[in-house]
Amino acid sequence: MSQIGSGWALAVNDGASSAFVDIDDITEVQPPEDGVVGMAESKRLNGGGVVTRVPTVKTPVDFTFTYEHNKTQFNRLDAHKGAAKQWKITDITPSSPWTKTFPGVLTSHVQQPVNADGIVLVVGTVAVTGAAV
Amino acid sequence: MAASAEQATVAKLKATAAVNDAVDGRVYTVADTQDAGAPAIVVTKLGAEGGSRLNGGRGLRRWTLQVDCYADTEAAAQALGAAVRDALAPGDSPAWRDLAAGVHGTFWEDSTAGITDDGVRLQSETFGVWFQPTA
Repeated sequence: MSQIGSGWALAVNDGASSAFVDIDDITEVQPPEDGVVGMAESKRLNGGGVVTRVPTVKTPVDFTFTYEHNKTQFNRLDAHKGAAKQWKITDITPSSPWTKTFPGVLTSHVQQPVNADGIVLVVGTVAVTGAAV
Repeated sequence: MAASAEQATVAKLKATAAVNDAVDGRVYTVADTQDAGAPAIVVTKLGAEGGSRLNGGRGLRRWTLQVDCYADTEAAAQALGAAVRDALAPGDSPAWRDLAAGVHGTFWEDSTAGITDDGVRLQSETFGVWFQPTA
């Protein structure tokens, strides 16, 4: 069981070597949901005067991550904007690490305001484009 | 190179002639002295914040340091405090930043005056120092 953030990692497959590369100095990541399950309702399946609702398919959702700016990493990730990549989030703290891999497109990659007395952060948003594995 | 923010600060103050000469080189971390006499400067670490990252991070944190300036007169203590501010975070030029020493930025926070039990005047300057160990 892991209830603190330390020990989680987010990586993106850069493509060139078909290898996942960790994103360093992440301060926050919103783990992606596998997809929101849609629901449909039918009055034809009326059972006892109640509209029946049934599950349909999942709709992928966006997820975000925040890291401390450094030039090399910012440029590397920025080059992925708009391109479909494989992303992987891992909780390495259990004896058997929990991992989820999913396709996604970096749709937004924004440097946060530069303050005199603070570390510059960058927020990335990834639109998940398919099923997680 | 420096292993701690207070060690880097002591080294910086010792390297600043306007400060070091005024105290005849008596610039210490609090761990190095309990009674330095006067004039003297003692750098105390008050705490740190930030630096938490998912992968443990690279050690960059904002340390709060108090620089106590001891002198026999109030005027001398104030002058010493002003010299320390000029060395670390002057108001009219860039503040102390030395990446080779692990110092990424320095910000002056506060200034207070006091007097010790044995009558020595005290001027305390407080700084925020962004430091990453280099050793």
